[in-house]
Amino acid sequence: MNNIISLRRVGLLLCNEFRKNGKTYIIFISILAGMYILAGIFGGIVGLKSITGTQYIAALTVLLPFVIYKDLFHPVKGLNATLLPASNEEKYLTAFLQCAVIFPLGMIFGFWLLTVLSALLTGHNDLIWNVGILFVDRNSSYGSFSLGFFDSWFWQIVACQSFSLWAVHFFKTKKFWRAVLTWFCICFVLLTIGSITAFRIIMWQNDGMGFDFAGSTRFAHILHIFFAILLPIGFWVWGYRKMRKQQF
Amino acid sequence: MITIKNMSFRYGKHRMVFDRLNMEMKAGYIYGLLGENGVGKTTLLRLLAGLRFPTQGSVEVLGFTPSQRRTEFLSDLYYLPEVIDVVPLSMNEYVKRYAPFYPRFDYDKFNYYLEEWNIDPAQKLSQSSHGQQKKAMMSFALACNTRLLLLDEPTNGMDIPSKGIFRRLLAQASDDDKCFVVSTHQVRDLENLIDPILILEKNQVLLNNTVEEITKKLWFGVKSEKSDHDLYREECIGGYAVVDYNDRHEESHLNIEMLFNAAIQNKSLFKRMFIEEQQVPHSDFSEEMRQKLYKDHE
Repeated sequence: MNNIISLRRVGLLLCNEFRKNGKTYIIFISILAGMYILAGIFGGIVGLKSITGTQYIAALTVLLPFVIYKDLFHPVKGLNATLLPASNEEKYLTAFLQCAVIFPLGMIFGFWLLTVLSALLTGHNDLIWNVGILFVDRNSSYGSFSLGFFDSWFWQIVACQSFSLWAVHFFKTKKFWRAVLTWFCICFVLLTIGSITAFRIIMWQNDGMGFDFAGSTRFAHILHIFFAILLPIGFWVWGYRKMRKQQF
Repeated sequence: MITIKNMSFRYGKHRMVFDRLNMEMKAGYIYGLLGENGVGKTTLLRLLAGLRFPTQGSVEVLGFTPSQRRTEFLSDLYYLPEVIDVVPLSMNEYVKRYAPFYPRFDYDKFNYYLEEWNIDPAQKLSQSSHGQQKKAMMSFALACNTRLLLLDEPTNGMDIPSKGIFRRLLAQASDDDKCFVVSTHQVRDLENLIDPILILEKNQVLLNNTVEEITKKLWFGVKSEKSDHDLYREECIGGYAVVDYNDRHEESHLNIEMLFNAAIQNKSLFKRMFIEEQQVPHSDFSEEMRQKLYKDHE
């Protein structure tokens, strides 16, 4: 077990990653703080209330892997990380922990701290961000069907980021642009399938044919589970498998 | 320590680099890996380090399959590429970050190597010259104390005194449990250090023998006159520096550069003599040389 996952080595890898990516973290936090301060300067209290950290945190979280792992499979710059005596599992776990857990939580904490500071400075306690709601079900529009934490805002940005994490391990070079292109292709295919299905349903209804709503709801639930849970997990597993097989 | 069996490797579909390569490397030696540009020296080192995977056949290093990149394997191997990733860190910081991953890292030896090379451990690598970076990373590589050390063109960018120090430190660091593989074009930098010598040819190994085995079969020296069956010769003061068939079983001092040139010019003969281990009779040898010279002349 020690040769596959050693907590000591994961800790060392995480420390190294933080030291290496310290500048990126500072830049990302500065962007977030900058947005908040600008909203305060130009919009006053209303501006501060209207700005939601979630959008910015989501965007930065999705972008993070492309910034810190751009040289992961570079024939020169990528060697140090690949040949470092730690297992593939440890290296991937470190990447996962950093991108999907520590960074978003750190950004949430940072933004919360900003709101607390602004509340202290302005005396408006309602400026303080209610962080708790980020980790509970967002009452999605699927009626009573709920996936609990997997329907929370936090999980959704982590799920979106799984695509980025997959892309940095899947593509050797030009990771960001290739990922964007792939994303557009996926969206195009999904939109086409969705449009055809919707068109068929309308046609059936116009022809007076019965439409099984119970069946379609079940299908929607299955799709929901697929996109919310299975797809992100699939991207993580695929990313890990690609990492093991990348050559230099 | 290293066993390569029927290994093939190609880039893409058509660019074959190795075709059913067989080779063994043992502990206790400093292997010199020589070859013309593009024959696959760096590729071979990367295959041994698990950075590239064979298309066919098997590679076994330290009892592991390198492509799996297991922790135990990686902690017993250090690969120093020709082009180093220059990190914006001082050697003190570098060691703090990376040495804990190597279980046998020797801090005292690391400091000794830096002192020998006169490297300031507080200076950032990115602010040092190419030669300084090479020496700093070489110090780290040697201090890792791994059983397998793969060095790709280690003396490139080093000044003349540093090359001497490099030879001394490498000789000091080697022991019966360790195997060093040094790929180089600068054969003179490593003369009297590398043994055995491994010459790669396109797709194949041309020679993988100890200096003793080589000098048993080949004679290196100076002759006043050229002869038909000189394997290789160069004009020099007092006649011709020659590589010849050692039919009189005389002892001679191996000249790696001459050996390399002779091997490149007489590939099939070298393969027969050293890889297939055929006893090439002198008559055959002379005849082969004569035919070769005739062909060259044509």
